[in-house]
Amino acid sequence: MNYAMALNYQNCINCKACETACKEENGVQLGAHKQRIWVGAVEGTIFGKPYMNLYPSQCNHCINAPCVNVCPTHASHVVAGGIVKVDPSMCILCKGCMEACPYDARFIDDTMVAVDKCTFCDHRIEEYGTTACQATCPTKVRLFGDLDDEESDLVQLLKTKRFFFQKEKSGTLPKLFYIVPDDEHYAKQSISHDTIIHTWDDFKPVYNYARDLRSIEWKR
Amino acid sequence: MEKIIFAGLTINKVSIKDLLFNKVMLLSYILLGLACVGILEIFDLRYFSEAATAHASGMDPTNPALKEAMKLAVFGTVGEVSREVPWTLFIVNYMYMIYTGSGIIFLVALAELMNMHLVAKVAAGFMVTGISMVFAGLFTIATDLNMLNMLWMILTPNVNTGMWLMLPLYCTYIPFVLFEIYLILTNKRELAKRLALPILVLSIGVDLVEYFIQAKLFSMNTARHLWTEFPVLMFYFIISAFVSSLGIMGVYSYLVHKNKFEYKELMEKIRKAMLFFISILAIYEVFGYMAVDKDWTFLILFGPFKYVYFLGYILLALALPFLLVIKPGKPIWTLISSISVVIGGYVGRFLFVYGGNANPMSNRFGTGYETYDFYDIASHFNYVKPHLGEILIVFGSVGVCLLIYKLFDSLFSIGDLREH
Amino acid sequence: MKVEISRRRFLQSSVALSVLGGTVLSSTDIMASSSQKEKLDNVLMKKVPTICEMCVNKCAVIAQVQNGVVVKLDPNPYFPKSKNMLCARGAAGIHALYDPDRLKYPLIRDGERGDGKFRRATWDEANEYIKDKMVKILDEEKDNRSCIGYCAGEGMAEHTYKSFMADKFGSTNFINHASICLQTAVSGYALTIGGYGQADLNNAKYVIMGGANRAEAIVTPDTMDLFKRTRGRGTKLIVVDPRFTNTAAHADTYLAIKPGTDLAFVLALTYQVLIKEIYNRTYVKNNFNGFEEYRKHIIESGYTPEWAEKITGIPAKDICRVATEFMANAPQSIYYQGRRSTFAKNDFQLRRAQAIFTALGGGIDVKGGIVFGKKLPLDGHEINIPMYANAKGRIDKKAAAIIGGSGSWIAWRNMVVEGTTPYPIRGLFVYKQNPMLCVPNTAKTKQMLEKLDLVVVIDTMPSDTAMYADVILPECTYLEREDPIKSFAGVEPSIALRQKVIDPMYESKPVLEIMKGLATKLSKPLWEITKKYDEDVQEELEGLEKDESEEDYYEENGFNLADSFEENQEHINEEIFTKQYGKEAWTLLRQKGIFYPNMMKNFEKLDNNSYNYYPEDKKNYTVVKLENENEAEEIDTCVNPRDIAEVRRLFSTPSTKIECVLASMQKKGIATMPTWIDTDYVEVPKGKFKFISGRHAQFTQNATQNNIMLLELMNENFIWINDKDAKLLDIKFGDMIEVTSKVGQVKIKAYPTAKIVPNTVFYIHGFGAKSTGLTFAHRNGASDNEIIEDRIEPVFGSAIMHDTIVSLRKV
Repeated sequence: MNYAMALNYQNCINCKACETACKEENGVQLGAHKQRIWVGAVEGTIFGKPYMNLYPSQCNHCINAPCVNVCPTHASHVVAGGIVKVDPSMCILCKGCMEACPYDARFIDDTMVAVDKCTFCDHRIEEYGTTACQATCPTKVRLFGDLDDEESDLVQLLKTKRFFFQKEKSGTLPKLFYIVPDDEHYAKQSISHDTIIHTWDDFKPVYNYARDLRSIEWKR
Repeated sequence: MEKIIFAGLTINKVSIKDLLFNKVMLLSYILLGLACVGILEIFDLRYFSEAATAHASGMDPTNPALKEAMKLAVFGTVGEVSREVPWTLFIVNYMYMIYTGSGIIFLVALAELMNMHLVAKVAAGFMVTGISMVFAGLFTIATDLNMLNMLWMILTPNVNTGMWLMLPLYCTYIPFVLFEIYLILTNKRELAKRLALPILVLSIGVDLVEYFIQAKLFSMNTARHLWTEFPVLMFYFIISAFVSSLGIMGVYSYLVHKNKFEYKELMEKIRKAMLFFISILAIYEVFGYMAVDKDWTFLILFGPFKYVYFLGYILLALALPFLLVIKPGKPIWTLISSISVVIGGYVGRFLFVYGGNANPMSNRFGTGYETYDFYDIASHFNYVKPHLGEILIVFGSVGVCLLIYKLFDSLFSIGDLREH
Repeated sequence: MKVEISRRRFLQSSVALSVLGGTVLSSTDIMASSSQKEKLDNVLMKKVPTICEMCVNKCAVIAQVQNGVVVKLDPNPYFPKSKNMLCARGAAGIHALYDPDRLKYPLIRDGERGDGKFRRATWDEANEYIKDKMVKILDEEKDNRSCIGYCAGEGMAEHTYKSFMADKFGSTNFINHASICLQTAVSGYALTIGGYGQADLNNAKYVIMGGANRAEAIVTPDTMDLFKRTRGRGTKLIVVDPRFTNTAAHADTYLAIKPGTDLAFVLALTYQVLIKEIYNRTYVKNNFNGFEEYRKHIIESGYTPEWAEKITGIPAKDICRVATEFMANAPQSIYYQGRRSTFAKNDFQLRRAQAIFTALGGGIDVKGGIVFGKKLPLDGHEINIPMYANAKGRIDKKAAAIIGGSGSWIAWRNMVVEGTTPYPIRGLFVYKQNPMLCVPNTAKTKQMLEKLDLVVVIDTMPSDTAMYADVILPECTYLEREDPIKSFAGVEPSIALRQKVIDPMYESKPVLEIMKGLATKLSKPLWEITKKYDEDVQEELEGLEKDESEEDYYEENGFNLADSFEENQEHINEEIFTKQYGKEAWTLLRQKGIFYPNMMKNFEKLDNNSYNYYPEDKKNYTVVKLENENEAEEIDTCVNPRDIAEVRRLFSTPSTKIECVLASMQKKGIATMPTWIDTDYVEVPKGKFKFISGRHAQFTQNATQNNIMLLELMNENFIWINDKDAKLLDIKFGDMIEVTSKVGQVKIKAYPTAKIVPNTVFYIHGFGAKSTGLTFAHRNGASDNEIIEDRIEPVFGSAIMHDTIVSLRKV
């Protein structure tokens, strides 16, 4: 089992339904910067005409997670399904994981005095088959699933679409798949020219290798 | 003064009053007092912030404290740590104190290996200064971490991380250095002489390991390219530490040895060493930034940090001292240069930590920095002012350094010259 | 520790405890062993399907209740309208339920009106107070029931309140929120094509949205369908808006337009289409009434694209291109109706022009066009309505050309303030509405409330209006009550049921019980007043048969005000539903929250993101009666959508055709055909700005102004100003700006942006509350209605929201 999420971000309307559902589902601390998931907006003008790119995002649950690599007490660990989690009772607040994460996915939960982040709603996967953010989205941006399950919707989607990752060059092997928009114009506008575009065939062997290597450490 | 001989050490018989209430100790108490205020403030922010979760209202909706907490969450700021700049003044201070302290110890070991007898004669004082600074650094870390869960460092260690390796490192390093100091102070000269060389070599080895682990700590943070792309970070830490260490040594020499005969010669040695290491550091600075990701380089060299960089660091740590030590002259020039380097070195550490965090992580797709709120402008530069508590703890760490040094000094008179 | 509840979770998990425990435990395990805890959770966990009320869309929700606390609101996949989604406001419903400032018990004014001082009262006391006042007022007004006005915001329980005030109490002065909302748009379409309809965005190929903002003013299923198909996936979206909204960001073409000039744009599109003769001629021949006259009018008036360019600022070539593309994709082309408040004085003509333009392509009552859908039948709840001879007609009858049962908020209010009412207006009942913040020209609303003798507010929050009340009655939130069952019309119609999730908190009650309590208290005393002044009743009582007592007359003729509230809502719902669909269906409805025929057979989950509700052949795209019934079979086998569109239908208009000319308007002084009148357009003086308002996806009007979960997403509103205009005035992001109009002044922070056209400013509605009872909303941001001038459009008296001129000053 290796859980991942595909984001058809061209649908996103920045309504923040996902952010609210996540906070309510997981009892996250209140506060504008205490977000486990978020929608980032890049706005600007091209020849005076405004444009807006909307990027919903969260923890990438990387296979080669730098946050897990640097945690001195294994408070930051990976559980079955390839989900990166934090055990707050073991966190010594060294903040090394916050420094290591290229995606700014982590923050301090002041009620637990420990680091907090998206957990792919692992407490509800069994019952609902998916995360709270995916279920609630009005324009159905997200698709959650198991990369190892050939029958899953996620794999079916990834086999037919091209995708890319955030900050791929940081070598973290992230598992948030951003689907390349159908519209060429929006694709050019929202993807930088040095982003590598992948297909299922070229990416799967790399990930399988990495997953096999790292999954020995995945506990419980 | 009356002396007691114990376990090979000559201990001064000092009254409790002299031991605990002399001028330096009183000064350190004041500084420690400031640290206590700082710790109270930081702990209040960290453990007792008015924080509410999304589920809190369901349990007791009309609780007035909850209402306040909600108001603070939305319209104010809660908590100690900023998401954008997690490592702050604590890290700057610990880097400075520990690296500089270890640097002093490293330099003394190197000097002894190169048979510089004068340095060997004053080694005791330098070594104790060094170890005091290391303690000051560790004190800073202790206040930064959540000590309640420290047991897990031993129960479930992750031995590949720089952060964890610091635990066994300092558990070994400190006793080792204390043993080195013992060897210097002991009147069992035969034992000392026999162990001298192996201990020296080991010392250098341990110092190198220490800087390696420190570099590992920073370079494992894939997100911060300033730290991961700086060429041979370990070497950079050593050189920059040496420059600050020589500064501390210069100031120390003035304070403790200025009336001694050997003062001039000592300062001359420090001058030469400083010239050498400043030159290497200067070359390093030039080539270092060429290798680093331009997003960070631009912020430090041409962006909001440029004044701090050029006036606070380049001028104080490199340019001015270089001009002062380039020609042999009166010790006063070396002294001024030392002071300049001590301050400049601190600024350098500040730039390293804050500079590493200055480039926001929000440019996730290469198309620009993201905003998360509708009514916001994209930040190109992350900087969070240190809390007052942090600044007070920094002063407090100086107090720790003074306290430990003075205890050693009162008991063992380490300021005296000793034959090695 | 200052904050006790649920906060110090870290202490639960600190090492000390786990070391004592002797084993390596994680925080969640501390309290009980994991398997034990799971069992405990299952026993105490309840899932109740219900309907959201955070906005008008009524999406289906499944509420999770644990230990009597609502912990999460999840979307309910069975509802075809909301298709398994829940927006930010829906998820934040929990914080409306547990809002610390919520009204908890009845309050009676204890000082001057408006100073916000109230004393706690029991329900009985509050009802007694109202009764005493009403008896006195009606005695003075000689039983003219209409001297008490009433208004309401939209809600599933609105009907219950209205049935009391209108039917049982007998007042004709209902001021519906429709006149500060989409009344004009709905009527414009209804009078033209026979209904407002829904846009079938799931199948449309070309959509023009003028000012509508589906990405931020979320409407189901429009929002859900549209954005999955834009950007080359089946729909071409053209957005015409003074602001580059989030919807415009998804558009294939964004056309920046000067506010208030939409009519010129549509007229130019019509002109282009008529001149080039690219409209559907067969359709027009079959289904249009008055086409020749209209065509002559458009062409002779010279509504060319070049003419429109000067007025709107949209290049003529874009107008031509849009017109051509629209017709090329017809009949699956829609000029989206729009569902918000009136923009400018010519709004009625604008919506008519839009409807006619869409109809020129044939896209009415076809798949991919504007569809009317079907509604699953449900009977209403019968009410015994008494007749009051002295209840006079509504006061604002002459305020506009057509004043129906909804009236005109602004006209009504202004008459009361100016004292020009035909008879005295003595009181106002307000339910689920906050006129102080939602009606233009707040200063006048304040004056009106101060003039009245009795103001009763029924609400969940201590809003600004509640601060001006004599009596405040706390209603419980939607999660604490069962509401009247509702049938939702559409392509895939269904019936949805709101069920009670938890019992009402504090002393709040559902409006049914509030009305019951009030009715019981008022019934007999008001009956005495009626007997005293109502001549018809007096006559009938005199003529009573020997075996008929006065009591019988009183009961039979509906003067017992409480008789329609005898049964509880669940009982009423069961009766209404089982009558049509049977007991088995009722059980299913209560279990799933939703019902439609063959639901369990046809409902299918394709994957986590898509569901099938009705099979394709059972979807209701074409529902309007055809003139020739034989053609119905042909339609079923038709492949070409054009052919389906062109069939002659019998629309619900007077002529059964699309009405281009509304002759009846002439005598009311309204143009019979969409016409551009230069003097109607409000020019922007140099150095000033036109103020427009609107929505963001995180808020519903001002109802959510105190919701902490939503305020976290956006904690105040900012004023949008074109970045070039801002530079000239030296305004930077975050600067405090003073905005002044003819009727008011506010202070708000600036947001200079390229996303708004020059000489126009905008900020969202719903902020700037002054009520001291609202901790988080108090003086937070600025209220738009404080500065919007109270103009009305001439056809229905709807409030014009976008014709206000303001001046800015940096402070």
